[in-house]
Amino acid sequence: VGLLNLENEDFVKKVVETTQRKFQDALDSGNCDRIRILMRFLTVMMCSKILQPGSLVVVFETLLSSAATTVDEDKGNPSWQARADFYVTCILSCLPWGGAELIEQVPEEIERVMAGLEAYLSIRRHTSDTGLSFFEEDDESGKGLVEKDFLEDLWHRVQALSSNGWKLDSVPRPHLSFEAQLVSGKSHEFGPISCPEQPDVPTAVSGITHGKQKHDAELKYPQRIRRLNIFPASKSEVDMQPIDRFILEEYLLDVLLFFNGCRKECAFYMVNLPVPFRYEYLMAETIFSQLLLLPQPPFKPIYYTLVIMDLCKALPGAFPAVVAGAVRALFDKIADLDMECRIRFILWFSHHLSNFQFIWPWEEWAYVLDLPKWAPQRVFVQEVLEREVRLSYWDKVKQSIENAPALEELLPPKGGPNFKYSMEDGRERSEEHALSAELTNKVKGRQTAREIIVWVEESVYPIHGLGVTIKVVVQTLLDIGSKSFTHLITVLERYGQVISKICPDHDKQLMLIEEVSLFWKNNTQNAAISIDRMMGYRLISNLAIVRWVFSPENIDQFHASDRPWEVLRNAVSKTYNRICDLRKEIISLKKGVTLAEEAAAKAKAELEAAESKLSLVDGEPVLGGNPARLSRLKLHAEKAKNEEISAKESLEAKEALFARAVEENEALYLSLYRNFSNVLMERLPDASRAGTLQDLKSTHADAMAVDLEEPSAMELDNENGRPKKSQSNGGSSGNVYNIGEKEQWCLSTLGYVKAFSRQYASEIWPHMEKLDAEVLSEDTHPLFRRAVYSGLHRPIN
Amino acid sequence: LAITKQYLWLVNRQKRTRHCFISSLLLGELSAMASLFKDQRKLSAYRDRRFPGTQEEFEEALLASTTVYVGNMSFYTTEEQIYELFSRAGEIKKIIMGLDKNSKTPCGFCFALFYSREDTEDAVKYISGTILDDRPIRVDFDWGFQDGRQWGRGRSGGQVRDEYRTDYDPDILLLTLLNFMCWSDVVNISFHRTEAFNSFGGGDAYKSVNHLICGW
Repeated sequence: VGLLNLENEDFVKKVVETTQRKFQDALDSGNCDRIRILMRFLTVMMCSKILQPGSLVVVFETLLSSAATTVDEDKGNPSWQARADFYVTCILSCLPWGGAELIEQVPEEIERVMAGLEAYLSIRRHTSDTGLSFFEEDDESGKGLVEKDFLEDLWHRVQALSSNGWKLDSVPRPHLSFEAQLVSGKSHEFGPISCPEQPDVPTAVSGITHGKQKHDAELKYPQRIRRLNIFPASKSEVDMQPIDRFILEEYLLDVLLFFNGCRKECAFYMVNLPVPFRYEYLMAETIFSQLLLLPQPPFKPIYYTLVIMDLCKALPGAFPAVVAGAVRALFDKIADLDMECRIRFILWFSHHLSNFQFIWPWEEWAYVLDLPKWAPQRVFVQEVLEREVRLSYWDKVKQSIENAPALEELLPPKGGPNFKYSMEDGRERSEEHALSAELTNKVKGRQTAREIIVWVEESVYPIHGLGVTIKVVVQTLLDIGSKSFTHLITVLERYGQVISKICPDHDKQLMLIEEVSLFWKNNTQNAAISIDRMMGYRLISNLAIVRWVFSPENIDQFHASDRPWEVLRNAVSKTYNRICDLRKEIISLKKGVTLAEEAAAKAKAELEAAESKLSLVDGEPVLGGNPARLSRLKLHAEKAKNEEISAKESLEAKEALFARAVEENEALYLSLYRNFSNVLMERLPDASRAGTLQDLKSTHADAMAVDLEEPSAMELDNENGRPKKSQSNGGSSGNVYNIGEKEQWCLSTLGYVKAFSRQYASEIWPHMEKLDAEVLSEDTHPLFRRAVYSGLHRPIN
Repeated sequence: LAITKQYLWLVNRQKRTRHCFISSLLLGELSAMASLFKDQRKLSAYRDRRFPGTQEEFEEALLASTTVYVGNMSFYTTEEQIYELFSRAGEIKKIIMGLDKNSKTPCGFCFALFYSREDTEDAVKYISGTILDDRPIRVDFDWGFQDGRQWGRGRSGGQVRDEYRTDYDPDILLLTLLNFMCWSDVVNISFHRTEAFNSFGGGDAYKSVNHLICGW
């Protein structure tokens, strides 16, 4: 553009003006990517002498002043610090690109900006990433309070750069080769820009209103990266100055953003960045930090899975080893890894391996068999194998672990359906068997649901009672639908009515889910799918599912298996999707109503205009004019009016559905939190003994031995309830798992409380007052409260 | 740097080109660079001859579709495997296995239906060209499932393209030969996984689904 400026000043002037307009639009609409990129564009235009440096400084100062106002307690609205931080981040990210030029051309102005930045950093509130950090220990140790947050860290890096005379190699400087020519071009001015007003401070200031606003602000102006430090700096930051890391991260994130959907180009640019140092470790850390980003990454996790695969293929000598190193590092620290991150890690790893023939040195992790069943590392291996089996098949996965054949113990059961009434030889036939066979014949004979309901009501229920009825009907239908997913939904579509008839309320739906879980006890995937589809066909309510998840057999497995959590995740997610769909539909219906109103008004106006038109016929004034046209217009107006009415009715109906969905949402979250609170209250040690997670972790198993419950499903490793010390099997150090079972159960469950709160924060905040009143009362255990608040990113006090 | 070089090169061409190019960069989308690479008009090189409509209508259908066609699958790939993989793109509404017209057994393709368009796009973007059940599968937008489209249209009963396929799993090769020899029953040969396949009732299962579906 700088070169163009030499030939066609007017054109470039228009470019500058258009950029200014676009930039203002981006500021007004809060389009973060655009704001960031346009500011960089302005900076490089300044470098190419198209833009006056003074103008750029004015842009910086405008943003800075807006930021300073926002965080001012009196004049601004500190809940919106996220926006202020974002503006300042943008300024800081421009400085590497133009710092050298600015210091040369407008040294006083840029010093002023630097002073302003320093001032801002001193008045803003330090943000701790509580609730959003990958590792629990970071939350707990107060590390978040002591260490620099993202902005402070970036400022530190920029300062280091400035003391280095703004010299750096990681940013291209194409304008330097054309400097002699560019100097003769005209530098244009940049028109004034203004930052939008921040939202008003709510009239009734409370912890909740502040929290809600803060949540909204953070959603709109999210922090782009949260560092996942897996490798030591001695490996990852070789030959780099501090600012280089930030620049590299920006490059990588921008490639991921702009080349999403273009696999080849994405991989190409990822590996060919214009930097003079090697960066495969940083690349891995950056991509993993996105994959695991909380609350959500900008793209679905499957995108990052694909990118990692493509990079492994593009750099077969370097990248796979780095990825493996990252996996090992995360595995070592998995006991501290956030629960949401854990499931993402499991899903990623199994999917990744399925693209590389499941090859992995499992013998390195064979020692997990010596750990208790609920040890996080062991559970991780177990769940990865479960997902691998789902993506391929049992024998294949068994073959893939042949270097550590003992791990077969962790594979899921090989069997299929657990049909109670199968007609295998040698099995006793009871009356129930006969009923089941009869039902099967009816289905094969294509009787209608209606006919079968009648049969149940007349011949089954009165004689055998509710329990047997549910068992026979559910097991038989599931068996008919057991051969494939399509078989299942076919059965549910055709005979779902039978199920709803016999299970109309939550109590019976609970029995239904128990039966489903029993039928599919050897196949977690099918159990989850069946429950999910039944909820989809509205045969069971999400509240019944929550009740089932919090039933004793499942509670006992909270720390040892993902099975109950998968079902819970599906139910909450489906509820969420439904309400999102309703919101979208309402928006589009509202648009439809507006259009219909306009059309009706227009038609009416046309009609009235025609009616009131006076024309002279034989000297007599006659209203209406052409009668044929008049009747056409009348019809048209009527039709438009009817359409308006019908559009409004559709909207009303949809809004009624939405209102009901909102109520159901509230009921769901209340039920969820109540259940969590109850089960945790039963198992957490007294608040006086364990007020923090650190306390919990160091609670000796000895002390717990006294009040251990009946063994039942909780496996004790020896009579004292103390976990066996595991032997080091050539694995990494720290194989001793010295957290007691009860403590691990609490840690896992609290972790899920935090994860759910965080994931559905937007849905939960509107119901916060009710939650506070009914669930998070005074005598709630502090650890439970902390988990909830942390997930919602709500300050404790 | 490559991009910088590219547009500098364009700058030295005729005025019209450079105006267009640079205008679109600044005035249009910031991802204009990327859209040079994303050929969004090229939704699918495949044009289904059975589609009842014009090329335009075909493309419109693809742009709105929430159905994907999945090809180059193993004949043994199960719905559960498809479900696990494609769920990572979004909530699945339905899966329809492609079946050999004669034997009524899976013949290497399927349709997956999502609830949302966004999830459908993600499936095409992120799953196509990756591995399912040890084979690299192809995932494309489909114009919309209709009854009848689950049957292979090749002469032997399977897919047309399988007549030219060279990368069979070794056990499928024999199966295909058998098809060509017009053996109507699926022979119980003890290849690895045939047992698994039969215990899932591979052959019979789809016969009965078909029965259930056609019976309505």
